Amino acid sequence: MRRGRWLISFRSASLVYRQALTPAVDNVTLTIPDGQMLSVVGANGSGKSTLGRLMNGLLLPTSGVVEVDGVSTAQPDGVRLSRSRVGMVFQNPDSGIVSASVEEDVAFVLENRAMPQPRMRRRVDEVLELVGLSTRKRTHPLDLTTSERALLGLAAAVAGEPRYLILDEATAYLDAADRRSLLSAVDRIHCATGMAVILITHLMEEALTTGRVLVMQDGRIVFDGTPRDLFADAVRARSWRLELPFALQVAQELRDRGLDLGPEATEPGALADVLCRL
Amino acid sequence: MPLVARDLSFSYRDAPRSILQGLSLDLAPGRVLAVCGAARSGRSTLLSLLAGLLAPSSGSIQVDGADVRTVGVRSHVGLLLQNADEGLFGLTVREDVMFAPRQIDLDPARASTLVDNALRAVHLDPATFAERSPFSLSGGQRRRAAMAGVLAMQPRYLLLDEPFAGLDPVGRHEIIAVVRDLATQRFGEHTGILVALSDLDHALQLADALVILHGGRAAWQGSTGAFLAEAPDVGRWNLSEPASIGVVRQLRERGWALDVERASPAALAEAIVSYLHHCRARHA
Amino acid sequence: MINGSTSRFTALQYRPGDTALHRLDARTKILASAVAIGAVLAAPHPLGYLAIAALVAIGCAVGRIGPRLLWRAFGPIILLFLVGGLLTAAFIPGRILYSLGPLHVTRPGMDLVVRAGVQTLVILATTALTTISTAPSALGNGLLWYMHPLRRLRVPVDEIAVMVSIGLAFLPLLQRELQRILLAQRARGAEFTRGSLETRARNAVALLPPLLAGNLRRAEELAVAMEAREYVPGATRTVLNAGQLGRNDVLAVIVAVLFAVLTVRL
Repeated sequence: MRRGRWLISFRSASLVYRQALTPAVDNVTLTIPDGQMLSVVGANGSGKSTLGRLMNGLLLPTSGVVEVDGVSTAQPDGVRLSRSRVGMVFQNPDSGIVSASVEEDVAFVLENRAMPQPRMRRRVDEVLELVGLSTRKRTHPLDLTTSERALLGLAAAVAGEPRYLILDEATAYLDAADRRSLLSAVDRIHCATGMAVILITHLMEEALTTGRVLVMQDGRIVFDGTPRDLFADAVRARSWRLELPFALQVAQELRDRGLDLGPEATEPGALADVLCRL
Repeated sequence: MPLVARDLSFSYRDAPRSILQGLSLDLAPGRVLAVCGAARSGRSTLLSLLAGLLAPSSGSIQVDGADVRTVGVRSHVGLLLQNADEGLFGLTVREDVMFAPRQIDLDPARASTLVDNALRAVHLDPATFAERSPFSLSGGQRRRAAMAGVLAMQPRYLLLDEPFAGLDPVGRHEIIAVVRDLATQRFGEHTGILVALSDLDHALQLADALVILHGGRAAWQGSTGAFLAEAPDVGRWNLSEPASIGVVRQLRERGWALDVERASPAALAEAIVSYLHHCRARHA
Repeated sequence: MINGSTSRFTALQYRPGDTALHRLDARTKILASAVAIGAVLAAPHPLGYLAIAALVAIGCAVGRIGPRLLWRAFGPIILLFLVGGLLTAAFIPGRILYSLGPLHVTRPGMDLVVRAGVQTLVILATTALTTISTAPSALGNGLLWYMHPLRRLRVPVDEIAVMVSIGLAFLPLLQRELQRILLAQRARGAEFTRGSLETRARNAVALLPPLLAGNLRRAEELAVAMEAREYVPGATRTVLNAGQLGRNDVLAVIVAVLFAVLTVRL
């Protein structure tokens, strides 16, 4: 596993859409090292999706620099390089369907690289095995269950062996069970390949699973730290229009009723433990 | 006056597997009922049946004793489909909400008032939103605009299919507020609301009563309070344990006896505080 | 899939299977179909039709495609043709064979009907044989393989290939989406069997905003997704399922050509 010089870096990067009054991303300076797992949270319109799309060159900054592994996305070869290093899983799994069979859909990125057929076939089989879709190789993507479609989106994104994987609200339309299945597949891939994972989400429970959380508001990064530090100040979290995990909401309500439980009650079991120690 | 479904069964003509079997439920005006089930448990089919858009294979669905499939009765039940965008038919919000009144050739003056009332009922101010294109609105606003379109039929019952899908917490709370308002007061009367959800957490926070669909049958039916009291194992129905049940269950395992009616954080906090007082009073 | 439809559209659709016909490369089937169609159009004598009919029958047997399937796909077209053909034939002057009231069926007229009928049947049958036994993506790739020389004329063959693939992938989605939009209209009180013509026309027009908006949004999302997966229009690409030619393919082409020659020579 390579380490050290591989990273995504933002240096005073801003993006102002044409005819927009305020920046979608405002003067962001940020480093994401290879292999890290982090989540990006914020209300709708806070700029989290835009931030993600600056990382793979889908959008270019209007000022400042975004670099992937040392190459600016604004450079002639930068876009191609960033897209080969940064994979993206989208919110709507149906939006990326390009073929009538699962295996061809997964192969799309490799076809675009003009990879020779035998190598492509091996890689496709490998990826399908990794996400658990091997038995659905020839199925039409629209005949898959919602959960399988999400996994297909994941497979299509990692087929090209990216070093960084962005999940752009990929769980937004999934129910709890499908979310777990997708995220556990992401975990498996992260452990097997050391790929960095950037989880853009509005679900706080997901943010809890990563070691580092970025909170965005009005295009700026207003918090960069651990989930525990984030939730330690519930009032501040609410001011960023974040919804606390349920157990923490209960803890907040208890605090309003004169019962202060401290910052540990992030999920039901912990809450129960703290209460029992009273 | 409730919407009553009895022994409902349904299967598609060429499919051997039945989607629903022997399902019965009641929806009374002013109540919010949540129908929960994992994917492909038949939720969406159930809603189409209740709205009179599909004929059951057997069983009956009646409003005030009349079959819901009769034309005059069908308009008493409004259905909002999962993908709200597929139900937005106008170039402006007003034009879209006018769709239903136009079907029955309602006179323009009355229709206009109806549209304005429907928009207010979903907390969209007509002055601000009526002339805008539906596609210039946010996800939550679009869903509410589509809801207004259904309310323009003046239904006594409103069926919502996954109204929170894809919405962030802010959007979700907007819809919850609208649903609460409608249940308590629909243009002066109460609307019976049925919500199909896969997320039990949301269901428990929103509804008075719950039906859990599994294998095409009602695996559990009853009030939200009863559900919280029982805290059943939902894994056998392919559902994820809601955080509220998690809290209740974890505390119960430690010997606490909580009495909770609703699953909101506030209600749980109240229950915890009152239990603590109760314990202290006993120990004093 | 829940829609176990018996519509004519699906009768022509790909039916996965493992017959020798299925295993032939798409390019072979396209070539064989073209040869068969060319032969039946060029055949000077009706006797030649027997040869081409035999070829089609062999194809059906090898692909295990029964007459019932073909009837479902083409039945109405054939009936329509018969009726229309007989009516047309009645207007062509010549030796009268027999009369049906005011309509006189003449010899030259009959010839015309038979000729056009057989040609149409053969074209439909060979098309069906190909589409039923070949996966749409393979068919698309096969057709585009033949179009490759057009690249020299600046025709964007590779881009067309991607577009065809996407179109095929999205077809079921569009069908289902239309059904859902119609359901949404019914949920708002639209009755498709009653109501004034004006209302029904308005409802039909009302289908456009959700369809268009949905597809515009989808197109944009798709473009973004494709870019994220390194798609560059105009760049060279390879294809996962490019197909391989084998002994059976050569055999099939030889057989097709033989029968074609017979058809034209008899």
